[in-house]
Parts: sequence; C-alpha cells; structure tokens
Amino acid sequence: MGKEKFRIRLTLNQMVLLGTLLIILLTGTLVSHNFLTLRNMLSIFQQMSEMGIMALGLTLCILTGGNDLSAGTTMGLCAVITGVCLTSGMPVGLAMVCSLAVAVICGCINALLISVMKVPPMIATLGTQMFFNGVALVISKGNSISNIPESFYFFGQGKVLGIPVQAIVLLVLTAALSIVLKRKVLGRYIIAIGNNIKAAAYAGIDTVKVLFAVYILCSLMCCFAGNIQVARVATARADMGGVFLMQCISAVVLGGTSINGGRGGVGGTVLGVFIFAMISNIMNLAGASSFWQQFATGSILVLVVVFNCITEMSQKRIRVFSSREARKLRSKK
Amino acid sequence: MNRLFERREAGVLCILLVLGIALAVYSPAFLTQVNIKNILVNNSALAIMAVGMTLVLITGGIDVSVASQMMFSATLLAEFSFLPFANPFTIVLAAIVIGAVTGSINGLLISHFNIDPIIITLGTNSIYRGIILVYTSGRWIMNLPGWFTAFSKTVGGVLPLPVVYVVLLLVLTAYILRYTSFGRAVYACGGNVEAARRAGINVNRTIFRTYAYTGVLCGIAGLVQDSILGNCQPAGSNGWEMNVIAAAVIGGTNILGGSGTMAGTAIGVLLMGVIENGLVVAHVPTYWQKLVYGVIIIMTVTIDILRKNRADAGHQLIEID
Repeated sequence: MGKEKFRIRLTLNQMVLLGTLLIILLTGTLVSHNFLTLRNMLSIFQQMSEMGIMALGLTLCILTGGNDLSAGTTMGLCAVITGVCLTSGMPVGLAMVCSLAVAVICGCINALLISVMKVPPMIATLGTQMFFNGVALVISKGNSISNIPESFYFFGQGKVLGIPVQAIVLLVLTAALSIVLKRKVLGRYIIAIGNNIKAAAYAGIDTVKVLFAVYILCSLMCCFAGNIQVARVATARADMGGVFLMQCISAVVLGGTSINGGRGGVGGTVLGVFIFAMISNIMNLAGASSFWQQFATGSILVLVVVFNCITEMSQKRIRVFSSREARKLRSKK
Repeated sequence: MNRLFERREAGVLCILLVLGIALAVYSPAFLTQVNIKNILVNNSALAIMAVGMTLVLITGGIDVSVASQMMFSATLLAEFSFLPFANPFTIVLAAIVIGAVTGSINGLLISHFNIDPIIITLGTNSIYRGIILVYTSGRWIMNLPGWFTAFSKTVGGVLPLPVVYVVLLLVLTAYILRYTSFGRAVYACGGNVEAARRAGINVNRTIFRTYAYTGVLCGIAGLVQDSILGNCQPAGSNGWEMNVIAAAVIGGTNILGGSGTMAGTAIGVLLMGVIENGLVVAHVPTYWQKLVYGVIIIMTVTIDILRKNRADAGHQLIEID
C-alpha cells in the first residue's frame, strides 16, 4: 500500500515529453559546454516565464473546451495601460492595479460573449483579439512607450536569492493552478465543462460562473505576462504579446492538453514551454538563425503529436484485439 | 424577396452598402475608379485564400497555415521565375503543384492521424514559414520578370486580372460546393461527421481533399501576390490567417462547420477591404482599423447568434447530442 502511494504514474504523452526533453538536453550539452550551466538555465527561465504564464491561462481556457485567441493582444493592452499609467506619474502599485482592472474587463467581455451570448469561443475571441489590439493601438497612438520608471524594473529584471522574479511568479502560479485543477471544486468544474458542457449544466454546475472565472483568470495571466515584459524590456508596445499566442497554444498542446478540452493540466504546459525555450536557447548558442528555430518548433510540435497519435492508435488496437481474444476464450468455455 | 432578407449575407451586404454610401458622401476620393480598383486588387490574394478557408471551416476544421502556405508558394515561385524554363504556363503549373504539396501534407496529417486541424496547421505554419526563411535568409526577392508581373496587369484600363482570377475561383468553388458530390460531402462532414459516415461518405478522403484544395488556392494566391507586388517578401503577410478567418466568419461561415457560402465570403472580404481603405480615405489614423474590425466581427456574430436563438425558441426543438 505504502509503495503504491508514492509511485508516479506517467501518461504516455508525459513519457514522450520527458523523452523529448532528455534528447534536447543531450543535444544541448553536445552543442555547447555553456548549455548545462546554472547561469544559462536561469536565463532560460527568465526568457520562458512570460510565455509560460500566458500559456497557463490558455491551458485553463482550452481545458473548458474553449480557446482564447485574444490572449496575446490582452497582454499588449495591459502592457500599454501599465506604460501609460507609469509615464503619467502614477505609483507602481496603482499602475499595476489599473492594468489588472483592464484585464478583468477584458476577461469579462470574453466570458460574456462565450457563456451568456453563446458565441463559439474561437469567433468571440477572434473578434475581441482585434478589438483589444485596436484599443491598445488607439491608447498608445501606435507608438511604443519608453521612459518607464526604474522602480518598475524589479518585476522583470530583479532577482530573489539569485532566481529571477518572473521565474518565481511562474512557479508559484503553476503550483497554485495545479492545486486548483486537481484538488479544488473549481478545477473539477473546469474539467467537467470541457468534457461535456451540457452534462455539466444538467449536473448543477453554474457554467456561466465557471467560464467567467476561467476567462478572467486567463486575462489576468496575460496581464502578469505583459507587466513582466514591460519591466524586462523597459518599453510598452501594443503588439507585445502577438507573437506569443500561437507558440503558447502549441506549448499547451505539446504539454498534453486536449485541444477539445476536458483532459490535461498545467504541469505539461510548463514542460511544453520549457522545451520550446530550450530549443531556441540551443539554437542561439549554436549560432543558428531564428529562422531555424521556427522550423524546429513547428517540426517538434507535429512530430510529438503524430507520435502520440500513432502510439495511442496501436494501444487501442491491442486493447480491441485482446478483448476479442478474451471473448473467444469465454465462448469456448 | 422576404427569403432574400432572411439570408445571412443580406445583413452584411447592408452594412457594406451603408458604409460605402457614407464613405462616398464623406470623401470624393472613395468612389473613384482608381480607388475601387485598389481595394479589389489589394485584397485579391486574401480573397483567394478566404475561398479555401471557407471550405475548411465548413468541414468543421480550421487552417491557420494559409498565410505561410501562400508565402511558401510565393517565395518558391519568385525563385522559379529566374530559371531558364520558366514561362507563364509552367509557373501556373508550379503554383498549383507547390500548393497541392503543402495542402496535401496538412490534409494527410489531419485526416490520416485524426488530429485536431488547429494543432497540425499551427505546426506546419511554422514549418513552411521556417523553410522559406532559412532558404532565403529572410531576404526579399526583387525585380521579378516582366512576364510574371503581367499576371496582374489591367486589361483595357478597367479590368484588373487579379479580380478576374478571384471571380473565377469563387464561381468554380461555388459550383463545386453546390453541384458536385465532393461539395455536398464537405457540408455533410461539417454538419455531423457520424451521420456523414453512416451515409456512406468517405470522411477522411473528403477532409484530405478539402485541405489539398485549400493548399492549391494558397499556391495560386502566392502567384497573384508576387505578381501584384513585383517582389517577394518571405517574412511578409504575417498574421494574415486571422484576417482570412475573419473575412469568412463575417461572411456568415459557421466556425463550427456545416454552413457557409462563397457569396458570403466575397462580401466578407469586400467589407474588410472597404473598412481598411475607408479609414485611410477618411483620414482616420490606421491604428483604429483593428478596433473597427473587432467591433464588426463581434457585432455580426452576436446578431447572428441572437437571431438563431430566437428562431430556436420558436421551434422548441429537443436537442440530442
């Protein structure tokens, strides 16, 4: 009994992921002796945190069977709001509260469209994606906002005990969300909605409330990511998170979350983001152009997904086969 | 007449007309021959891709790799045009072949392995784009030959050729959707996959052909885009897939599959083109453009859904999943 409790059960996808991670680590150490150093690992964490935090929020949306295409532009909008507030002389705390408030509004708009008006999530967030980006561009007049006060830099450049602040934020959020998903009622509701929203509603789950919570949480994550990036690069632009969106969705899927919802978790997502971050790091160390990175990330996504699918198919075949054999044996008896 | 107004396209057409009239009144520069020609020509590559996207959306899938496929074809064609045996005939052939290859890879992965289309096309999106960027190191390919740019010349001073291609492809695809067994199968797969399968439709083959056809259209879009610009920017047209999806959705294509028409998509592309152009003509800073797009998408879709809900409430149907 005691032994059983501590055995870690890995799903097939997690095994494939860990294998991929191992291969990448090996390649990294072969490519450059600078790869497996503490300093490099910390810098990977620093770079992946923004994308990781946003991917956490997206994981929640995708788990409910939805998607948030507006995540990238929400991040841009929050970044611009923070930038404008800071440059107008607001204290750091108040500026962050302002951008968090805007994120909540963004999440509410998404959730309103999706849960109350029943617009398919992909279309609703495609619309709000352009809308939020438009608002951000109008507020910033299409310019990038620099001269961010140095007191704000801490969130993107500061270190606590030698660990970058944003990496700590990422780890804390990951831990919190995985507890919510595994141990809390909200997490079970999210999974239930992802499996079958109608059945969930009939089972007495207030789907509107849960969807509001999920989309607001996702927007808040984007807001964190936006603020961290503003602090790291000391500028705020409307197009900041745009490039992250597709990478984040890829990372979520790579991490084993079903794009149709109901299956997956935040742990895999962070692993997925970590894999992407390491690939680009190795390529940088090897002096390969960023163009190769794009090719590599795409190939790895397709390969892992196809590999998962093939192994799943063959497992199913074995299962069908063995059950057929069993039936034959039974009929003989 | 009544039935005409019940159709989804009618509402969007009304918005388009009202917007057009308002712009014509506001600015004399809008309703000129040159400006209208510009709107049509500048959006022709987008329109060709939107035709394919509509088909994919009708099957209940999505293809976020269209912009990459287009640039993949555009880049290879630009390189191809400097080869000794390149001529207008072989380059059209090359465009179709390149598009068919990229589209078939998507289609094969999606139909054979039964993986969600958005995942596969996200991956191939990076792969196609990565290949051409590595191949060209991101450099522009300049000074395309004269016979290449002649693909987009204006015939008789009034009829730009790209518009002819768009109309031809729209009509061809509308014909395929309405009158061929493949077209009916496309609608059937989007409506209810299981029912389609029971009705004897080869779902995998239909899905494969849809993505392959979309690939061919993207290949042709690459040819058109190259000939309009006279050069090729491998890193360009980034994020166009969202505009293409938006155009199809504004035109009334259901993103969950099962419905959509070529007429709607044409109107959707036109509406987006007119907004983009109208803001410039009306001296509104371009950064308002995205905001207006967003509002229009949210508005049209919401009105659509509300109307559908009201219709459903009247029927009192029992839904069975």
